[in-house]
Amino acid sequence: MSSENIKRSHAATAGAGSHGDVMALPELETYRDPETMPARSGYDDADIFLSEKEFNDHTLRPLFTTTPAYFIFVLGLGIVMANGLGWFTYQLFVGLGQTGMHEPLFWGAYIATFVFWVGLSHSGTIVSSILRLTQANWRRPILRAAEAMTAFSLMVAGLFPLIHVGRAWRVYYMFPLPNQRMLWPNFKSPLMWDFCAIGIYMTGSITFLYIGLLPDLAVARDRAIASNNWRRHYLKVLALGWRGSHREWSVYNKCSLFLAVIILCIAPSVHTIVSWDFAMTMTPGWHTTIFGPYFVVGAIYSGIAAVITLMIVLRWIFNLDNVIRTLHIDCLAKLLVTIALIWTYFYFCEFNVVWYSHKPEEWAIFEWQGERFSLFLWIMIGGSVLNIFLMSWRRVRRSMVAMFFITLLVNCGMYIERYLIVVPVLTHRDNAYMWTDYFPSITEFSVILGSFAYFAFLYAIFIKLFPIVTMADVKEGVLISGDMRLGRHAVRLQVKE
Amino acid sequence: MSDHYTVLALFKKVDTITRSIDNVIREFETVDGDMEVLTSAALPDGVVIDDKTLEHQVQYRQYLFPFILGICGFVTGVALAGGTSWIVNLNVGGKAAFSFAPTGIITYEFSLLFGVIGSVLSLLYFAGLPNWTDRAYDPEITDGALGLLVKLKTREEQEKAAALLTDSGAYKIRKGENDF
Repeated sequence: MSSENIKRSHAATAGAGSHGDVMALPELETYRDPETMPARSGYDDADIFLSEKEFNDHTLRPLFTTTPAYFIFVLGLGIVMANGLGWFTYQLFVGLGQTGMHEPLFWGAYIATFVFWVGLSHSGTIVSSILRLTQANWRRPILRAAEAMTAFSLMVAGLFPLIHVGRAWRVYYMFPLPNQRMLWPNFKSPLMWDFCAIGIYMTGSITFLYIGLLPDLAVARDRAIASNNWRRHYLKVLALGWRGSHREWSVYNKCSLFLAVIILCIAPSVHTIVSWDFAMTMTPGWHTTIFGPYFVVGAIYSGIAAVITLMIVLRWIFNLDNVIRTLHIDCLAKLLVTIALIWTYFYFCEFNVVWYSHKPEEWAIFEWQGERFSLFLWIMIGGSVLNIFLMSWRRVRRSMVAMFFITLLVNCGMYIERYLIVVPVLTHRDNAYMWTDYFPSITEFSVILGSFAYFAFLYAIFIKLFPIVTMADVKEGVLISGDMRLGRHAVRLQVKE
Repeated sequence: MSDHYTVLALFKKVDTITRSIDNVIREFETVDGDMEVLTSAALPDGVVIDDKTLEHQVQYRQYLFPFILGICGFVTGVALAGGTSWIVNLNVGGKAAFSFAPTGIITYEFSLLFGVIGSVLSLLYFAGLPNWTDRAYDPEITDGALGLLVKLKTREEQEKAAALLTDSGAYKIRKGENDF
């Protein structure tokens, strides 16, 4: 950047300032004193009253400090994963026959779990993108954890088609690569669209996560080098030599904006395509136009709930109360209520049309659900209505314990929803002689449990390798905001570009 | 013999660094040097320096990367899905050889994938990353210090700039060579 350019810029920004100096404005930091100016109710936890060094120390502690409890936790996850892997290996040798699936039911708990994990991945990048684009100030500390959740959910989800197909070693037929039998992917199949969409979404999400990490990697790198920590080797490489120059920030912000927009275009398309795996068939109960948006909303619903659960767990385990505050959980809970209302509306639309028209083959599915899966239905619908009611109370939204259990209930309900989409339709096909029952076998239970452990394992490893809080964004929020006295209140000021 | 000398001055306040920039510009008016501000968080445009000070291409051409790569993705998508159905004519359920829906979906996804790649490339290209060489830097910047990096022609100017920046409120000065 040349001095001439800077001079021109300053002449433009200084305006009436004498001799081209920048006007001496009062610094916002001087107002930011919780002792002398108690903040107005509602803003009480929007700010970080820590110096930047203290903030870095605080948020990087999970990265650099490891307790024995962590190793025990990871060991426990390893055992559950090994159990799942063992059963999967057994399934590879014996075949899919030893799962609970049998004719005519060839999609069971594996597919329901696949849809669940894809759904869970949705809120991370969608919420992150929307909140970035709308410059919602409360987004800042939660972005990293949400984006990481997306990436890891997709990594887990991507395993299920492999597990489900049985002959996992032939999966390369899905890739457009020349092979010995001259097979080429059939792009007319919705399953192939699904494969492309999820692969691309995973690539985009991991990229989005990494680009967001860049400035924080530089902070962690400096810490690791100063303390001669072993992490300095990979942090130095991954930080790409980031210094935080104005040029880097300017380019970085534009890149983040591009990625946010692109991810926002990819994410809904992915779950729409997942829904088309079902809707493009002629099967009653699946062949419906509402499935695309219904799946997308359901995915965002379960995803936001999972983000809240994760935030609360991170707060508890790493003592991040100063960073992930009640305000953030409260705002996420409000978003969750909104999405819950939309999801309930979609469910009502889907049910109401079938119920009122009483089209026999469609209504039979709902009747079957009511007969055989009534408990599941009550948990799913009752849980959703109960959650909306409970989360309407500010006290509930700001209670960590309450929100932890509510969000767990939401995700139990959403898992059930996926199960009810897949299983009842296939156990109750058109002809009565084909009606059957399905219950997942121990192999399926073990593999699914292993997938949850795998997700937690990936997350646990991530926390020990990378900063879990979006530090640069939080710092930006602190830098550009401050409080101004207005009568007896402190009023929040924020610079908006 | 060095091509240029650098001074990295660390400041605590935004106002101090903006005043220092003015002082450096006034003092070294005839020097065709460069300046850069190093911060731990993105400051809004114009708070210390303006995006307009960046080269024209950084300001306006960054969007071309995702755009051009997006077009490449579009072509790839059409070639993969449309081309496959055109060459390997597998009629399923009475669908046409060239089926618009699958081609559209695959093309859409590939355009976005290439757009992601283009965005990342734009970041690497315009920000000059990765750069693992030893450049002027101080770890205190990530702890909240604001760094002003000035490039100068001679050692005398470097000394003079260091003194000027100290007088302007810099609490730490680092001098270097060829590490801008």
